[in-house]
Amino acid sequence: MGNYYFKLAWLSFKKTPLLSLLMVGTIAIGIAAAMITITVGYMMGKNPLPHKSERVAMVHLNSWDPAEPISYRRNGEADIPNMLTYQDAMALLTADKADKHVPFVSFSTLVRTETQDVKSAEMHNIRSTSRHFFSVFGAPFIYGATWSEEADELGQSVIVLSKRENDRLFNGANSVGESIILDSKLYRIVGVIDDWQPTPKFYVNSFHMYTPTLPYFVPLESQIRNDFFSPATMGWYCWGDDATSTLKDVMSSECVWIRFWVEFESEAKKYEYFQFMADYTEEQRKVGRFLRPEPNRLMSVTEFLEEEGAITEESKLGIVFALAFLLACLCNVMSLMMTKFYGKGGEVGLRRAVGATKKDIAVQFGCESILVGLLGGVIGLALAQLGLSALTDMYPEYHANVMTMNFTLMVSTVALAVGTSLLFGLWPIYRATRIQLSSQLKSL
Amino acid sequence: MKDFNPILKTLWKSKTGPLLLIVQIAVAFTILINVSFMASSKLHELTESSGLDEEVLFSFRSNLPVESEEYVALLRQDLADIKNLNSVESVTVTNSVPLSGWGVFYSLNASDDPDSYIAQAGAYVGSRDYISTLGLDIIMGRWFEESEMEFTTEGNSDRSNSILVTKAMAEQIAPDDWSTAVGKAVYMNGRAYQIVGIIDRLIATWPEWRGNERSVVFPTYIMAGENIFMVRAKSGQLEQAMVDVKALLMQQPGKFVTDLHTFKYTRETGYKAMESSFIILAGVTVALIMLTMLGVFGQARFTLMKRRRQIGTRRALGASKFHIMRFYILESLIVVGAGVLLGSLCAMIANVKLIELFRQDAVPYEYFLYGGVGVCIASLIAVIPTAYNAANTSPAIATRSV
Repeated sequence: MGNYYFKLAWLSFKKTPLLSLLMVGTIAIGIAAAMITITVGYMMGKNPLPHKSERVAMVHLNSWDPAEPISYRRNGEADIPNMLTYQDAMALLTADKADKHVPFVSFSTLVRTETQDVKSAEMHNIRSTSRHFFSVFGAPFIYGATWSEEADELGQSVIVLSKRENDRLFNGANSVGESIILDSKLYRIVGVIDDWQPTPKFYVNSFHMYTPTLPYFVPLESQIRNDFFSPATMGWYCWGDDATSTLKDVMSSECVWIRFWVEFESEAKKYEYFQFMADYTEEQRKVGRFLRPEPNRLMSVTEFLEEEGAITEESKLGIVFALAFLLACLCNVMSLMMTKFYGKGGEVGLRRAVGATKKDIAVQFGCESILVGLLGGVIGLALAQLGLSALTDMYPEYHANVMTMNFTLMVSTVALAVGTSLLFGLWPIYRATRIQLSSQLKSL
Repeated sequence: MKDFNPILKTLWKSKTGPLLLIVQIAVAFTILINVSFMASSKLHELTESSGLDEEVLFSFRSNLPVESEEYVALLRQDLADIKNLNSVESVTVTNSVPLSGWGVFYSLNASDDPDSYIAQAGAYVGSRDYISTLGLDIIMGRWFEESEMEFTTEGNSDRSNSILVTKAMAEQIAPDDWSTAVGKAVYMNGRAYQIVGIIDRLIATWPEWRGNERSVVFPTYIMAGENIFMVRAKSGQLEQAMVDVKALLMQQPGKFVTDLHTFKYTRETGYKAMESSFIILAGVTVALIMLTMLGVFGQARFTLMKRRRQIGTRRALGASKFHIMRFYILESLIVVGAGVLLGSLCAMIANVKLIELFRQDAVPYEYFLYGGVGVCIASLIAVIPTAYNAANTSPAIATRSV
């Protein structure tokens, strides 16, 4: 039976090709616009660590200038720094109250292999962090593993590469045990991680959340031991009159420059840790630091993403506009359907006269709406893919991950098209079933 | 205008089609007004001048491969060497390159009380030739004196407290008359600074920041092992100067020169996202107008189909082709007009919401006027072929089966 109706729908589609194509095209464009913006919004708003987003948290300590706050939040309240001073980061590491600590900063330097000459060295950004970076943030290894506790403590010159850099420098071979040279310092490779791009890249600020992950990782202590310092590329804020010309200066200053994440085995430990942060601050107040009134923060992944605004306002606005655009398209399709079904008054009259019920007519036109929606959905899906790949070129600072539909989104695209086309077909269908038999038959 | 009443009656008789069209136009118009306004404000920002002589400038980052005690001496030497190159006009060291996206900002206060907050401003530091290298205009007051400018590797509190601000910043400091800002004191991080001059334009380092016309220039350059340079090439020798500077600096062992880009490149990269947004917004504007035209066209075809006989009868009773066309066009215009009116109302409500939620600016009323006229013209274009078709309905054929 359904088969027969779809056959009828297809015949009717071919009978008025212009009108049908207009309907399909309008739905396709509306659906494509809506799904492009929804995809971007959905990918931006994804939970990057679903299984432990509440157990991984970022430490914000209010060590800032008593004279005025570091900046103001969107709601006008005074903000606190989202990075730590070196002395605070070291104090938290030494206290060792969380299960895993991930402090990190970055620097940029020239990178080459032992066999390359100085001239072919490339400038790269290096993430300097602790051995837990990979397990806490979920970076998978293909060769080797992270460095040892000893390497963290002594600042050994060991390094982890990204797959892309391993492909470039070692043709993708297992390079564990080989060495590469950062500036003039020899680093031994202990591991290679697979292509890894959390979306959003939640552990940095919103400005960098959709940029590619850094290609090299070394122990923070080794950066300090080897005196790597990139004042003109790293993120840091200073106050007061401390000298800031060298890494040593910055380490002993009140400048904030270290991001600090912690992981707990249970959420309960998180609250204990917050108490510990309060105790630490209280301790520091006695020596004249931490004089600002705003409280410290221990923000889980989801809280931090919310606070930083992982979904940009532009993409939220885009979704609203695109949905309104879809509504306008659907109104258009609805009036086209009215035209179409009206034109088939004669056929309806005939079918009704030979015994079709109103329900049969409704099913017949319902199938036709579904067919239009289905075609619109498929074409819309194709248009959305084109649109997303165009967006990838247009916004180079956003990683292509943000512009990629997963399977669920693809299915929802077609489902949305079929659903809305059926929904907006209801009224035209209702009107079509109420056509007066006699008036139609008379004029045949 | 004697068609007016019959038109309203016809519309009332079959409401669904026209109502749908009204809703469609209203929704489209709501988006159209807001999106086109956003597009034009983006275009405005994109075409805005940075205040710099963009054609002859380039920038790069380089290190000082010596101990920190020798930083100042080597930096001065580097600056002198670069300036001596034949292809180079002048050179400055700076804390950040305008529109590069990386830099420092400060909150300016009117007193040492943080509640006297005025505005945030991007912060720049340059060496002696900063103004002439970037090609900035000091429109009031003066540039720093030799004694105020300093390269330092030490933290100290007895730095010069002179600063320059841009005109946009001065307008915030002295809203009544910006030129009186010279000589005034402002506070940053609890410390007092005195404004000694006003720069016409110097864009801050964040392309997308709305306040990026506000900048402050400081005289004390705090040195580090890595520094950012901006170089003004002699006219027409930009490429040559970039090659020369790199070759010169790379003679020092352990030196690197990186992020070597023309200022034009920095600007294009910085504005890339905004330019893309503009293209999308402009595309959406065009698409919305096309969609409206399509709706009007569809609706007109539908009524033509329904009213063949009516038109035939009218023609048979003596209505001219002109009458029929006028009837049609007027009918469409009434529907479109209703849509535009409803749309204007929705657009205003949407705009108020957008101002609240996304801190957009209010849409000026010209947009409603031009938008409305534009949509009406587009609809006219869409309806005229169908109206012409209707007018050419032969009375004989249309009324044959009656």
